[in-house]
Amino acid sequence: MMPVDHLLILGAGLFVIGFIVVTTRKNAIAVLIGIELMLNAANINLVVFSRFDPDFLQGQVFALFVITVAAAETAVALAIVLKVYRHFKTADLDKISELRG
Amino acid sequence: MIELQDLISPTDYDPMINWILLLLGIPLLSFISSLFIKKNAPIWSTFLLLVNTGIAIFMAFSFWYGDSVSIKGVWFTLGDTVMSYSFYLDRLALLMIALVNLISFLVHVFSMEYMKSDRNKPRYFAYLGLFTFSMLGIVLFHNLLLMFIFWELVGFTSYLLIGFWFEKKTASLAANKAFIMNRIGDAGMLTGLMILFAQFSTFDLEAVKALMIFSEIEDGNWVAHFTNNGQEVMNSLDGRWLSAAGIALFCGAVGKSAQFPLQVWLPDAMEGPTPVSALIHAATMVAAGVFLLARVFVLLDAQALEVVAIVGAITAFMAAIAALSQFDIKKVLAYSTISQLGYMVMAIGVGAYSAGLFHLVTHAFFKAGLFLCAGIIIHQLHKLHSDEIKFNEQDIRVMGGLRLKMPVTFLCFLICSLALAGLPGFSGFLSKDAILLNATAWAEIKGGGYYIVIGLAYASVILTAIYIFRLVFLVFTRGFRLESILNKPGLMDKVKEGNLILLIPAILLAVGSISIVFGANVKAENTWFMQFITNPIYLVPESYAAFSLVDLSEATIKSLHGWVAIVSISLAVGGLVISYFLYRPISKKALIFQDAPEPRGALGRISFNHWYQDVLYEKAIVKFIVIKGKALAWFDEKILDGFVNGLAKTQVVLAHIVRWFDKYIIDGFVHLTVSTSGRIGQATRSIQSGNVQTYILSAMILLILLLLWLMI
Amino acid sequence: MIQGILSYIIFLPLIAAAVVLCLPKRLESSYRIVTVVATGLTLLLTIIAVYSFDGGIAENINSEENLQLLEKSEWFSLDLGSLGSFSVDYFLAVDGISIPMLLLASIVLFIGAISSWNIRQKKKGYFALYLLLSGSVLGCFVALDFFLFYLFFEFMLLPMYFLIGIWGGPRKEYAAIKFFIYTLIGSILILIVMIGLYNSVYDPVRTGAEIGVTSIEQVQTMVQSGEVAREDIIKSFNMIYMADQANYIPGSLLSQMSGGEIIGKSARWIAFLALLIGFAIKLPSFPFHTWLPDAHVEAPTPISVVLAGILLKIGGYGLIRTAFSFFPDSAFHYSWMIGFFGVFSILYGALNALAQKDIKKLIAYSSVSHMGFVLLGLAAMTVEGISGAIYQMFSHGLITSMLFLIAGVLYDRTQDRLIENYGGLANRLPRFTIVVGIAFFASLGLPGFSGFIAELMVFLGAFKSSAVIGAIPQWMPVVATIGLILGAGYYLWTLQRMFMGKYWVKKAEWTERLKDLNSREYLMLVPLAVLVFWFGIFPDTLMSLINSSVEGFTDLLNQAIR
Repeated sequence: MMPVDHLLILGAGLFVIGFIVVTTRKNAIAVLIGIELMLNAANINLVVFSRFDPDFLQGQVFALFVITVAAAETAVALAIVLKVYRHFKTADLDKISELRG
Repeated sequence: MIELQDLISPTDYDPMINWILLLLGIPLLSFISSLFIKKNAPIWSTFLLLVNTGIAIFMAFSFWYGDSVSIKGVWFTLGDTVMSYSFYLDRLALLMIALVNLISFLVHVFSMEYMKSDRNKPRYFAYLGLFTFSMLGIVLFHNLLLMFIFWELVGFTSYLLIGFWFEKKTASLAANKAFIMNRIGDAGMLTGLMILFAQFSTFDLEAVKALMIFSEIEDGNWVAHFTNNGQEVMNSLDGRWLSAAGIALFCGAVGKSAQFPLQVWLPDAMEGPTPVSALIHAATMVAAGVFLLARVFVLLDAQALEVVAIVGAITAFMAAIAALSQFDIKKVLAYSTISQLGYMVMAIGVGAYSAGLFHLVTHAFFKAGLFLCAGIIIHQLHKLHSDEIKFNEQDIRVMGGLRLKMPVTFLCFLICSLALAGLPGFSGFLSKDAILLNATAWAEIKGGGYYIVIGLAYASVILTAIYIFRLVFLVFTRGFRLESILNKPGLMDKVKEGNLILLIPAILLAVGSISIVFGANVKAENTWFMQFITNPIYLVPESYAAFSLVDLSEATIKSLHGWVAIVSISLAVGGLVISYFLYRPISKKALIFQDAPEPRGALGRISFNHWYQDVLYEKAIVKFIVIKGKALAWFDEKILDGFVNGLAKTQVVLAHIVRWFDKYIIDGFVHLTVSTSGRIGQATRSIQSGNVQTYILSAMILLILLLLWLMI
Repeated sequence: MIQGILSYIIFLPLIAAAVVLCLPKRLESSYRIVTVVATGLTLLLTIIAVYSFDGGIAENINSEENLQLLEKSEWFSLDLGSLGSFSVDYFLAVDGISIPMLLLASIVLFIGAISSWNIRQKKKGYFALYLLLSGSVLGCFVALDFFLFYLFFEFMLLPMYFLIGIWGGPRKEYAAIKFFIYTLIGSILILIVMIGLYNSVYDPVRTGAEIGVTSIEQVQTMVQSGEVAREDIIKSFNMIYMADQANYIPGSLLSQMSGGEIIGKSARWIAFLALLIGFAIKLPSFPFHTWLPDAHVEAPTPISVVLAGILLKIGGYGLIRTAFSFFPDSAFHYSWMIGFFGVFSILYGALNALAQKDIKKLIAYSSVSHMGFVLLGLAAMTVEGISGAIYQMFSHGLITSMLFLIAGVLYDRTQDRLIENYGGLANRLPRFTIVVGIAFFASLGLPGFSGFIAELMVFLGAFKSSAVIGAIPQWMPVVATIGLILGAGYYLWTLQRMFMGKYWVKKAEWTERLKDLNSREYLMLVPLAVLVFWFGIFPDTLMSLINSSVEGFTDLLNQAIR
């Protein structure tokens, strides 16, 4: 049995990597990948904590849902990114700042 | 205690109602159908009137000796008050329906010829039918309200007929004048109706008379006691309203019978066609006032009767003076009519009820006769009109010598004139004598200033003879003055006697003016008229009753009889003689009459202008009312409306001030708030970079900070 | 007899208004047909209602048993907690006072619809507004809930404002605004009194239901003696309840017993005066009449007809229904003043009419004069006087409609209304002259026409008043007879100037335009003339409807005064 600590550290590391990717990369696709990483970090945590629930494994079930939803979300997000690319002729997030006040 | 409902409850079916409805219906039918059949309207409506006259005369003969018939019914209800109608046929009514129908029929006949060339004939005959209908209404109804209604309708038809030739401005103005003068009288009469209704809750004359008996004067109040539907009623008014009621009812007669001060409309009414003048303004409508006075006679108290007598005498005298100097043949007759009406009214005032009515009947004949004769003259002279011959065919200055060319007319005119002057052998003498006798007896009782009143009446006798024979001499004797005025000798030969359609009515009326018709008598009280139509019993509460009526004894009358007859005959003959010397063919006045100017001198002017009454009314009253109307219109527009508009303007000015306040003070505060929040917004907007990654980063940092804060 | 016939009468024109709004523009010519048909059907329904009306039932004017064709249901009610509940009924019914007005309104609206036949511009708006006006006017005469009455009363203003303001003459905006503001001021006064009344009057039936007592008399005695708790008293806008002094909550401002005061004057007097002024503006009486000449002169013919024919009558009707019924004691207190203003209006209006140059203005001022008779009759407070006032309103509605139609006939042809610009029209327009003659003589009160009967009753009632009830002195009717003379004066003078004499018009081109009446004009004028005759000769037709209600009403007044 692996200790819980290691797995949590993995999850945390993955999350930090994902977060850094999301905040620093300019390419929208890369940001999406970062988001995927953060989601998976969360999944790891869910699976880990389902160990304390041997009867129902709710954490694992929840992780499955998250994976499905993440896939759907990625599909929508990619479509939006493509649209954004077509519209602005770029996927660089720094240049798409329509919301600036 | 007398029960009101018993007095006015509807009567059972009486076959007489059919006759009455027929009498009223035929003239009404004549009115309506004449408007539609157009072409044959004259002959048709004359035929209808003939039928009606037949019915009226038949009724008069068959019911004369019977009891008077009264038929009552319900017209409408007002609250719990029943407004009834009632017909009443007594000898007076029978006499009047015969008289009205007969004269109306004769005038219809006369008009067939007289109006031959007028294109509005149907309208004319329709109006005549309407007039006959309304006049019969006054006579047949015995209810003050319905009498008032027909009374006004008579005034209305008179308006229509005076204004028949409405293209003439004078005619339309005369029609207006007649209607308005009548309206003034009617307004008074309406007041009388109000008073009687307030007191007795009914207009039925029989009921009013019955209730009058039971009314009393208590402490200066006039109190009517009776029961209504079993409930006891005690209506009380100040005693003066009793006199006021009489005088107010008399106002109606003043308007319709052309009494002072409303008589000015009658001379102007001569603008209407001459047959109309004969029918309406001589024989019937103007006599309606006298008829009304006779109907309400027993309700008039001493003061009211005194007013009636004095007004009558004044009218008789004033109009007789005015008739002396007129140039228009119809105007002379009009003033003469006013004067004679004055006699009748005075007769009622002095309590000579039957004498007044007697004069009404005799006057109807001879005055209608005079008018028809004048109509023949006017009609025949009118035929002389051509392109080069133009003149006023009513002006007696152009006439003269017509006796030769129109002998029948002359004869009729003469007979009627003799009757008017009151010479023995003619009807006028009988009635006038009766009036003067009663008036003298009245003055005997009253004494003092009341002799002036009969003095006026006696003066009018001589004046009447003067003006009517002036007319006879100037119109029928000497040469035809139009010839010399137009310088066309031989014009006289073109004047023809009127044809039979014109002459027969005039002849019949002249025959009716001979005293033999009323009995071969020189004493009025022996005529069948005075025998059958007697003074009614006087009903006014005693303290307000006219003592002259109560105290007038047979002996007084007997003692005066001879004297009065002698004086009146000698006055009439005196007038004839004076007239003869002034206007006989070779007199100075007659010779130069063709160029006679308007009279000069104070007396002449007063006479010619009828005491300047018209001028006074025109200048003082009419102008005053019009100016007042204009002033009020100005007040309404400028002051009252100006006030409203001013209010609106003030409001607008106020609104501008408020707007300034609003804009700079209230709104300034609002603007301050807005700009402050705008600046804050400007300051904070830089946070919004538009970069998603910055947002995520800051969100995360804040989340972490939150977590840290929660842990600590 | 049709159930809910009064609702049909009110809503038929309103539905027709909606229909007109929905019809597309290409069916423009059908608007007027819809309008005429709708008002015609309303008239028909009204005739059925009048026919089924029984003039014999009326014991007490302030009891619902006296009412007929009654429709009553709760419309809305708000619970205001400690203030009690605010409830408004949809309450329609007629009695002898409103049924002649309803009949008059239906007749005049129908005639007005025919008269609108040749409106040329903005047809949709015109006919929709006309129908809206019709509905609200009719509603005003049958609503017996004060709130509902007020609603209809106010609702009339809106269409009237636009009808004058858009389709009127040269100074239409001025006239429309003047009319609107004048009437609005009156409405506000009425509104204030309405609120005051609501706070003072309770509903004995509902209150009885609340406390479990069925007999109305018992409820009334219980409330008057203060046995019923404040919260249990249910207030009411019911005008019939307001007419019964036992339905006033003890201690309330307008209760007769408690004698509430405002600035040292009896609150009832002030409330009465407010209602009096509010409705006197509508009537109109001197000195609140100056909106009338302007509104009449500027309004298009059919609107003048409706304005003079019906809207003025709401003033008189309102006075009878509200001011006199609710505050008979105050009415008695002010009767001298009301009578005086009546007489003054009669003479003032007549003298003003004498000075007018514009024929429509003349007719407008003659209306002021004639409505003075209504005030005089009301002030008399006798059966004759009040019957006369109602009869005068009815008759004046018919006659004045005729007069305005006549003015319209002339205006249609020449676009000119000045009397001095015409002369001798009788030569060219003989039939028109006959109609004018009938209308003029009817208006000046010639016997045989309805106006005479009305004026006669007013005179009789007014003269009797001082002896019977002591309301107004005898000189008032006597002085008012001068109005009859002046009336003859201005009408005959106008007739003589315009129709008599040689034919003459100001502009030569008018001559060919001046044609005699066409068939549509006959259709409007002849029925009115016939009605004016009919009601002049057979007054019982109308009197049998109103007699018992008027008696009930005068009993109410008498009781209150004693």
